[in-house]
Order: sequence, then C-alpha cells, then structure tokens
Amino acid sequence: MIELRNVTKSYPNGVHALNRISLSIEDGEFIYIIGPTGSGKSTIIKILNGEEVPDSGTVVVDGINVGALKHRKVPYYRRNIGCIFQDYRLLPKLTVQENIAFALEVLGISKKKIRKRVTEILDLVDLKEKARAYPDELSGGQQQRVTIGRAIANKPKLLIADEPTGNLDPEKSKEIMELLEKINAMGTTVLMVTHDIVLVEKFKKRTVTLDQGFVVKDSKKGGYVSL
Amino acid sequence: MFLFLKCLPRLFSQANKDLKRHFVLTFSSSLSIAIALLMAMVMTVLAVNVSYFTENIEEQLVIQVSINPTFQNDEIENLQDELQTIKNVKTIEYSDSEEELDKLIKDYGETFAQYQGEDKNPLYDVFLVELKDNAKIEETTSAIQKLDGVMEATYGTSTVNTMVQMFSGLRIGGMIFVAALIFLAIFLIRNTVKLAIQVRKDEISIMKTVGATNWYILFPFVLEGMLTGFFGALLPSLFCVLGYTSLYNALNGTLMSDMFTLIKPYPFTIYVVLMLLGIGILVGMLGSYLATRKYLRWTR
Repeated sequence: MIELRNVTKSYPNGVHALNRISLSIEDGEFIYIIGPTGSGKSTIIKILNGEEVPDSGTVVVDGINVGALKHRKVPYYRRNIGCIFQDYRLLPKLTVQENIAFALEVLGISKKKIRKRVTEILDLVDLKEKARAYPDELSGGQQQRVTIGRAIANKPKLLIADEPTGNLDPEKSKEIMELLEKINAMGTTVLMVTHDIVLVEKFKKRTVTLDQGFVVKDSKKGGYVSL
Repeated sequence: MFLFLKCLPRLFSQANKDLKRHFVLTFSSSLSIAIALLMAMVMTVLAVNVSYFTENIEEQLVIQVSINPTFQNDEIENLQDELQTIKNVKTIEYSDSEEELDKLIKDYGETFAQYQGEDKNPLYDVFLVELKDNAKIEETTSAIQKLDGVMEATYGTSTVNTMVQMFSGLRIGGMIFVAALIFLAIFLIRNTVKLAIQVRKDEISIMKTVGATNWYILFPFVLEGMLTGFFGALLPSLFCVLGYTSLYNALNGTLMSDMFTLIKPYPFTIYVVLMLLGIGILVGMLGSYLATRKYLRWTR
C-alpha cells in the first residue's frame, strides 16, 4: 500500500517538480503514470525509492514513512522495491545468471538459495537458454527481461518501471508488458512510468496523468485521454 | 555482524579483483607511498637516534661546584644542605681534590701525576651536581654561583648546550617532515581509490538500487586502500631492517665518537617496521575512506 499525501518537491534550480500530489495505490495494483517530459514522473520514482526527500507532505510505503528514513536505513528499505530502467543497466562483464545473482549476493544470501532463486527467475522471464550469455549478446527485449529478473529476484513488494519499453519496438514491448502483468498477477504492485500511448490503450490499467507537477487525471478505467 | 562474516570472502575477492584490474595504478601509488614512507623512515631513524644522543649527553651533564679551599668540614656540609634546597637539583656527590686528580690522571694520562702529593694538588674539592631538568642548567648554575663558599660553578661547555638545542630542533623538524609525508601518502591513496571507484561506478549504482548497504559497497575499496598502503610500506621496511643493521655494523655502533652511540638494530628496527606497516595500512584506510565517502553518500 502506497500513500502520497500533499507531496511537494522542488529542486534547487527552482523547478517545482511536484505540487501537492495526493495518490494512493493498493497492494497488487498495476498503475501507469503518464505525462509529458518535466511533469514530475521521475521525481515520483525518486521519492518512492528513497533517493529524494519530499519538501512537504508524507510518503508512506508499506507502513514506512519514506521521507523520514535515516540514511542508514535506506538500503534496507530499498530491498522492498525493485527498479527497472529504460537503459537496462546490466553489468557487461557478468553473464545473465550472474547479473541476477549479483542482486542477491549483495544482500548476503547463501549460494544455495541464490542458485535456486536464479533458476526460478530465469524460468519466469523465459531466458533459461540464455543463462550463460553476456548482455551484449542479447536483444533489447531480452536485456530488459534480465533487468526485470534482477529487480524481482529479492521478491520486492513494489516494482517500479521507468519507461521499460522506451527503447523497444512494439512487438518486444508487448512481450515486456505481458511479463509485467505476470509478475503483477503473482501479487507484486507494479508502477510503470511510460510515454507509450499505444501500450496504455492496449493494456488498460489505472492511469494517472501528471502535468507540471499536478495530477490532472486519475482514471480507474484506464486508457489515454488527450487533455 | 553475521552477514558481515558471511560476505567477507566475497568482499576480499572483490578487492583482489580490483587490485588486479588496475595493477599499474595500484603499483604506481604503492611506489609513491613507498618513497614517501622511505623518507619518513629515514627521518624517524635519524630523529630517534638524535634523541638517543641527546639523552646520552644530557645524562652526562653535571655541574661542577668548586668549593673554597679554606672551608672546613662543617662549612662544607652546610654548603651541601644549601645546594639541596635549590629546586632543580637531583643529586649531589662530594669529591675531594685527590679523587678529582685521580680522575684527571685516568682520563688524560700520567702527565698529571706530577701534581700528586700534599700541597702540590692545584684542584679544588668539588660537588658534582646532577639536575632534574637539564634545560634549566644555566639558571641553576648561576643560582649555585651566588652561594657563599662557591669558587666556581661550571658545566661542560656551551657547545654541549648548543648541540642539545640543535638536536631538539632537528627532532621537531623531522617530525614535521614525516607528518607532511604521511599527508602526501593519504592524498595519493585517495586519488587511486577515486579512480577505482570511477571504473566501478555503474556497479555501485546497481548495488545501491538493489539495496546493498553502504559498508558492503565501501569495504572492498577500503581493503584495496589498506593493501596498497601495506605494499607501499614493505619496501621501506626492508630498507630499514637491512640498511640500518648494516650501517650499525659498519660503524661499529657509534658515530664519530663514543658520545654518539647508535641504537642497537634489534629490536629497534622491528618497532620501526611495525610503525611503517601501521602507518601504511592506516593511511590506506583513511585515504580510501575519504575517496569513497563522497561517492557513496545518499543524495538525499
């Protein structure tokens, strides 16, 4: 359960990224956040994963007041949140399975458990036969699936996807969407920031439209509605 | 803590991998540290030896108080009591003119034997006064000079005094120099680790995204810095043990005269080596901490 109440954030350069935003997201929901560049989408992500602190208002994720988190506690909070990015951010010198295992190694999980979990994930993202391949040997869609695998390796409650289909063609985008829906069906809340109108129209979900730091539309039915 | 122990092998292998990855960089910074520590080592050895000389010389510093020869025994005792009341005085030893002559003959040869015998002895009876604080030797001497019945109060020569002062100056100068070199070494390691961080920037950002704690990210870098410092300290350590020992043997343990006795190489060099290794590791730790601190801070 995510609850944003009157969240305001402005940057030192004077940009008001968010203006008194209130939003609540239930567990297990799939939600799009759309809007033009500079509408505050990235800021919402940064606030949710603890990178930025709101100037005012409260952000509560799963009972944790994110804005009030101590520096020391941020890494532990981060473990509840999986992040995927437009540019994949895989380690080029590690194979697919090593990339996924890396996220678990960092948390000090035993090798046996890591191996088991990596196999599960490779199965889920359908990359079993590519387990020993390096990222540059994969297509964009496959790389993005590895990123998704890495993000959900630790079984986070919330998956944040920052334009996951930004670099992909429609066919591959559809693949990624289906994977995200599968993960969502397993109980993970998915929050997806996107520009891709076609996808929003095709996979209709709750859609929040941001513009200049305000929520201008919150449609439960979904679909892109021109302002 | 348990997590820490479990992660330890992985963190060590990470640091090892890093060291190999930029071997040239590590090697050059190790070498620079080695040179800095080498100079620091030479300065330390010099400073410690100089202070050892000073102690030796200061131990030999004695005020010689010549007593008026007309004084009788009870008057001499009175004088001794008076001397005792002077603040800086540690011990007073009485030595009559014959003993003094014997000493003279022993030190400078039989030519002085001609003065032996009643009435021929030109020397005075003396008190040999040792001081608590040799730095105040001049004040104390002039205080003794004013006492009744004192013919003369002298201590060695003024050259001894200037030498003592020069040595202490040298010691302080050496310490400042060593401190500057250590500062330089910290700076060198900081830069090395900064470059290592640049190389692994992507990895670090991913680690942060998936929720690695700061110490987990930091530890390999600190380890790397410590190892660099340690390697840097090895060379000067070797120089210290071999170089100082052979110098000591070549000079037969003294420098020019018996007044400058060198410190025995064992266990002295062991202490210096431990100090060098300690400084190397500490400097490495500090340098890499300074380098990582900025990069690993949460931007919130």
